[in-house]
Amino acid sequence: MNDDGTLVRLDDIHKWFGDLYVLQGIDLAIRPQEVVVLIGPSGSGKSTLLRTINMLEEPTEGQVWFDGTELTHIRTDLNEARAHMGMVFQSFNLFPHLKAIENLTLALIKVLGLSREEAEDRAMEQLDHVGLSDKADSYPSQLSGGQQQRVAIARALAMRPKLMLFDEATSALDPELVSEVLGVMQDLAEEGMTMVVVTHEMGFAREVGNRLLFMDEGAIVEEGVPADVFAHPRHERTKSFLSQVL
Amino acid sequence: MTLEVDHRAPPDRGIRYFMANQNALSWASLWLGIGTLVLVFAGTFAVITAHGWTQACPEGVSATVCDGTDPLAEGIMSTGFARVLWTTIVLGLVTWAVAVFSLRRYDSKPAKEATIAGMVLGAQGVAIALFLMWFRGSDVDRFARNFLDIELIGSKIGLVWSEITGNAGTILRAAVPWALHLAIAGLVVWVVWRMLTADEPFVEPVRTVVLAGAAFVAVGLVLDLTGLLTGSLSWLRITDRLGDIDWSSPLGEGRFDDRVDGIVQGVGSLLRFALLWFGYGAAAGVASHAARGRLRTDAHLRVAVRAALILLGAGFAVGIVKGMVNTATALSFSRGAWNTLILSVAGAAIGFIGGLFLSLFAMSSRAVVRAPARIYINFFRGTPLIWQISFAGVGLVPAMQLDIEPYWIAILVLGFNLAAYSAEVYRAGIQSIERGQMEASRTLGLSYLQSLQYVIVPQAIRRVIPPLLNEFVILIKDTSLVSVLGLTLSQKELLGVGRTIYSNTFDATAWLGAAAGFLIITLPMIRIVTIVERRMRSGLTSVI
Repeated sequence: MNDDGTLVRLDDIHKWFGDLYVLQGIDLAIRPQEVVVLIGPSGSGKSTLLRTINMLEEPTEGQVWFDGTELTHIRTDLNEARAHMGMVFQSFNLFPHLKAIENLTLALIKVLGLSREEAEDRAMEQLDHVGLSDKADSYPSQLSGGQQQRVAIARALAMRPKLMLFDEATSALDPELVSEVLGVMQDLAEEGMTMVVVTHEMGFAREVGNRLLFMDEGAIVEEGVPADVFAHPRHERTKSFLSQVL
Repeated sequence: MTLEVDHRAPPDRGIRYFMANQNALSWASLWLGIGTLVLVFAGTFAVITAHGWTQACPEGVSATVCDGTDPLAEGIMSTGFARVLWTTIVLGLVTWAVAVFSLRRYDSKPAKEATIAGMVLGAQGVAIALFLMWFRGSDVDRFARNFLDIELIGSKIGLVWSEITGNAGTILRAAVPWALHLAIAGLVVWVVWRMLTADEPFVEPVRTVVLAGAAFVAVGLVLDLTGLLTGSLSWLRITDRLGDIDWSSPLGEGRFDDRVDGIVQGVGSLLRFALLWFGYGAAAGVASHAARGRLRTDAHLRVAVRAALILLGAGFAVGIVKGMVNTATALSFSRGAWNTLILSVAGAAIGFIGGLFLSLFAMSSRAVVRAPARIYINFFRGTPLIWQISFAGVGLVPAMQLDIEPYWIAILVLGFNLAAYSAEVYRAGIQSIERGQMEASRTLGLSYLQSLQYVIVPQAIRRVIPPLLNEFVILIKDTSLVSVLGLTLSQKELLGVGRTIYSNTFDATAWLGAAAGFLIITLPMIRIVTIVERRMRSGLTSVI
């Protein structure tokens, strides 16, 4: 935790891709066990913001704090910090040359330094948790999209992270597979995991999110309790966005 | 809630930002590193220019024999040059000392990058200085006259390379072709593999060992007898043929002696290879003993029978090749094929491993790391292989009086050349891996190098197998270029063998023999490339 009781704190984050100004001074504090949902039109910078939290995108200016460490500091060991936050991608990004269980054990062995047996035990436990223990020896190409994404979630969870980041985790899935992944995410939220979720699933945002952030043009335009924001959007852009997606 | 959308321009992250964010230590290590590298180049240039680059020889006198010490050598051997090199090394060490302190203190990205750049540049300067120091230990005068003879290039006179001469008096070895040994070695591996993977329970360990040994020795003796026959026959055919040529050596005098020679040679080969076969049998026996608990005796018998059949088949294949070219040269062709294989496999080992690291350097985000790799790759891709082989074998190594066998020079140059080409293949392969793979790996806390090692490179290697195999096929053919080196008869590869036989007999069939040898090696490789490519296209993620 940071000094002020937050788990993640972004201080005045600015990000440029070349001349493109994608994050225009973001301040954000996330407390432990909070589920923050980021919504907004494409190109609004929500994925970039999410990727800034684990420094996959380095902010041009501003500070990122995670669990008492300033990640933007040049001397910070990012690998150490990243081992404590999981990320789930839109395109799963499972390692195709490794079996499902090896996808989980790789970092357990190489990063956490577990023995192979310990790692496999923990991986099986985690696969069981997402209901895929029978697929441990399958390669990613032998799994459905929903199964792949659940393995990807298990891969992140096996590290026992303090924070989980979801980057449009269901966008690449066929509609009938979305619910199995959302179900896993919902369980996770109910277990008290701190989560930041970029999503287009408004139902999920309303049901599971503690806080909703609406982003547009690189800034947080509106934030609040999801049900309130959906019911009474204050900002014009929020209104027009919600009217399009709801 | 009012929103002020900011449209300010991105902050300066260019050279001014870089310079403004240095601290004293990072700044010092950068400039010390630059200084080290500049010193070794500028110092070398200055010292040699002071002494003169080339000797003023009288008209028509070659620098090789011109009187007096070559000024270039004088410069290189001068104490002034030694001082330059020592200063470079000291400066490089100072750079590293400063940089090590800087590594603990830097507080910004530019300072970190400057520190690392200083370290890399310093190391490069020291490496060059150490090379030049080592070079000073050789016969520099000779080198300068024979090699760095600038005037020669100035006057555009081509180097004269010694011609390769075949000596007909050196007789081809009568032996069971080495290619057969390859087949046999492969077979031993296959048998061991069969033993290890057989899932029937084992019955009698001792009997298995005896059977394994006996089967191999039996097959070996059959083949040895064949070898004896063909060997002595071909020997006779050679001497018959060569008998038509007017020999001035004692070897050409009596036909009878030749026949005796042939028989002695044949018997010798029988004994040699019976021993070898015994070794194979014993090895297989030990292996099967080690694999006990996995095998049933009659399963092993089946393996032995198949082994015999395959070996006989291989013998026939070689026999057909023998028929295609003339019998007299067949043995030598197999020798040539063997050499072609050694050269290409050893070269590939160096090239494929070296190329991987080279590609990683070439993809570095740091220019100081990238540049040397780029220079290496562009140099080896930009000059002809035959120039590289000649330069190393006929130029650099003799001129520097290095004690490297021509055969090894050939392997090294082929390897270095392939490294440059395969580096580009690896680069394409690694860059073709989706960005998300690296991101997912880094997100789990793996470092950049760990991500390369466990995630990116294993996938990239699968993708680059077909293009790398293509490079390998090209390499197999390019081994023929080593014929510019003065290899001994037994070291000659296929083209060298064909050429030598032709120059001895003026029988142009020799060229066909060389072609057949190449095709026997390359066609299966080409076939493998096709199969691997098809398997990859069919969507299997795991090819190997």
